[in-house]
Amino acid sequence: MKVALRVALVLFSAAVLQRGLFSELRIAGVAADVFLLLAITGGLTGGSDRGALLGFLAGLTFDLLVQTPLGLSALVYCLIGYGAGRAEGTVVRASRWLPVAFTVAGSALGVVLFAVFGAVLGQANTLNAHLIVVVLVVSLVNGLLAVPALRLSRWMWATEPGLRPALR
Amino acid sequence: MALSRRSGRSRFTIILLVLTSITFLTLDFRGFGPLDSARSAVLSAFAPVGDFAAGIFRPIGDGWNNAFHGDDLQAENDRLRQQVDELQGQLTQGDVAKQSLQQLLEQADLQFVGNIPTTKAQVVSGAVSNFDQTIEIDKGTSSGIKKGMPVVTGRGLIGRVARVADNRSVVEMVTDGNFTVGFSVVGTNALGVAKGQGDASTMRGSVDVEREVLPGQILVTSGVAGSYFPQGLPIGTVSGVTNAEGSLQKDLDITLLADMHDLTYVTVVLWEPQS
Repeated sequence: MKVALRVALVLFSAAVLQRGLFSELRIAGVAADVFLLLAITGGLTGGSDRGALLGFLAGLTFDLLVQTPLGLSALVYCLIGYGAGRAEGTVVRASRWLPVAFTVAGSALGVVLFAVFGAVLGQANTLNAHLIVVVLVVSLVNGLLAVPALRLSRWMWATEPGLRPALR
Repeated sequence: MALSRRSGRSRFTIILLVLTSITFLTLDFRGFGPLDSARSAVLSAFAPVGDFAAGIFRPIGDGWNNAFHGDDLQAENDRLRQQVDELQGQLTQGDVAKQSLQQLLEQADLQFVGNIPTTKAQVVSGAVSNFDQTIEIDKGTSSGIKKGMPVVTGRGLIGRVARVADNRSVVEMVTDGNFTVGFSVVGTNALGVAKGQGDASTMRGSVDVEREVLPGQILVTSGVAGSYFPQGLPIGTVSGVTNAEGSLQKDLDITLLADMHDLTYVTVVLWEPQS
């Protein structure tokens, strides 16, 4: 299967999961953000080019599902994916837990960036006390989902997934 | 050398993607039609997929809610039992209050929805993201619903249609921080504007400092020329009035009449905003 097809399949599955599952499983009224998770793990495993592109596509898909300005998630997630990609190699190969820690930090940064950019673009009530709860919950849940998401991202980028170890 | 070339290409990619995102944002803010159509197409395409996924994942969601909100459910159960008892006693009182609201609206020559056609819809899901205050309903253009139409419950205004597909619509709630509605205070000639606060039961409004507004007064949509809403849809009651020294406006705390926590069925008022 070609990489583009696998990316499309992963993004579609993420959309179904976000819409059908994660938007219902809320902690303190906050849902996980699998598109942000994909942008980070995609960057960590694929590098800055792929991370930025996957972040952009994931953000754009998310934008089509929600009511916030179209392009806002795409902008934030491509920056996050790019940043995660810059750390590829150093982070992934350093230790088992560093990618998870990086995912937690990247998720927190992604949510804050989204809120700040949203406020700049006139979205009311993105920068308020509830943002702290959103940051904590999204980071925590994305941290818990980081290991399977990293494996999924490796499978997604593998040129010959059948011949290479997809699940390390 | 190769590393530098790769780094240069990455920079080019990110700049290109950022510029593309900004282009999308600009087009969206300018109300570029094809983007709206794309969002409606996704809404339409995801309706069966979302329902299917929700059907599969519902037991997980229910299990989650039981596991993590079990105490809340027990407390809510107790509270509801107590409320049933209280409500049975208040039924008559409630009828009187409803009649009073109706009388007030009639005295002010206002009618709740009046002769405007409506269509009932079921709420199928809540917001997908953490920064949206929306609900999705199971009716769309095939039922005559168009973008901008007001959405109410039996108690008052809850939002307006923000996006519409064949058999689905997304409703932006009055509690969304970007939601504004012009109101008039029943029984007076005071007009003002109310704004969502991101809170599920309140809005914040403002009126001219010269106008007399008291806690307990009922606010309805003003329906002035160019308004997004017809005249007379109940919004809420004034729960507090703040008059800052030197300000030209009074700030109002508004408690919504509609219960935003318990939305199963809603009514879409088939009224198009005047352009």
